[in-house]
Amino acid sequence: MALKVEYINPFIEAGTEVLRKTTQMTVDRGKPSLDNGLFRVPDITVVLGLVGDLCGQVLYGFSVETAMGIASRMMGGEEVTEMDDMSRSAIAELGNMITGNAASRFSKLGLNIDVSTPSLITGSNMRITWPLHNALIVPVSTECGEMVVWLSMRERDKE
Amino acid sequence: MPKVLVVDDAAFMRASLRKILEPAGFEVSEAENGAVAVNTYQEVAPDVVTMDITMPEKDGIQAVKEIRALDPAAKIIMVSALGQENMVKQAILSGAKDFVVKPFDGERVVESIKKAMG
Repeated sequence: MALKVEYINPFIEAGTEVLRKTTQMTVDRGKPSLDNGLFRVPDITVVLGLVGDLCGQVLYGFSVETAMGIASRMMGGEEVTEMDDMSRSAIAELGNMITGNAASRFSKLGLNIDVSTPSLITGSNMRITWPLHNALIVPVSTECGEMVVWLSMRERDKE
Repeated sequence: MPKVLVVDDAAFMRASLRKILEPAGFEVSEAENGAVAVNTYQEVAPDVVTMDITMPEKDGIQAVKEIRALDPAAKIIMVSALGQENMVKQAILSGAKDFVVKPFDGERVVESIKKAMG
């Protein structure tokens, strides 16, 4: 079954709530588009696997500057001058909290999802090949810069 | 000083909980997954454990079961981003006293620990 555009909404709502609680920032959601394989993944990207009634992957991508700004706010305003172990852990945990919050929102719609532990990818000029199907991309503006949410997900096949 | 064992695979989350709990008068020890938590529980004998759910090696639900098998009086609070109803039920059935959803309010965690200690 194809990826439904409305599946992105719980992730954006979750992102808005989690960023507000952890960084006191408000966010603005951009227009969703389809990843046709030409998009480059930002320098710092958190990847989580989704298994259950809906299966797939969700990614949260940031520039290094944005990731440092968000990590600093998550650490109570502590100065962050490089993406060290603690900053990387903070950004990975941000992805974990957003996805966990989104999973709770899906469960209220009757869809149960388990979430993997987050992995953090660091690098530049990377592309993603989606194994199952296309992915949706939604840019989210924050006071620290842009967070890009990628979602590649489908409903589990009915038995 | 009451002892709290903080179990979470995220260093950031362990540090955040330490920042909240130490000023509130708790001695904090840490474990980075469920398997380490079971061993550390026996070494440290904490008054309360805060337990994440999704972790490598051994997840939090399994760790709760194993700690409760070793010590049926163990007081464990789940602190997880997975706050959906079925997960909360599973945690409580495995022996957890409370469930705090991330991102949390520091006061909520301290209150939950104090309540578990009785």
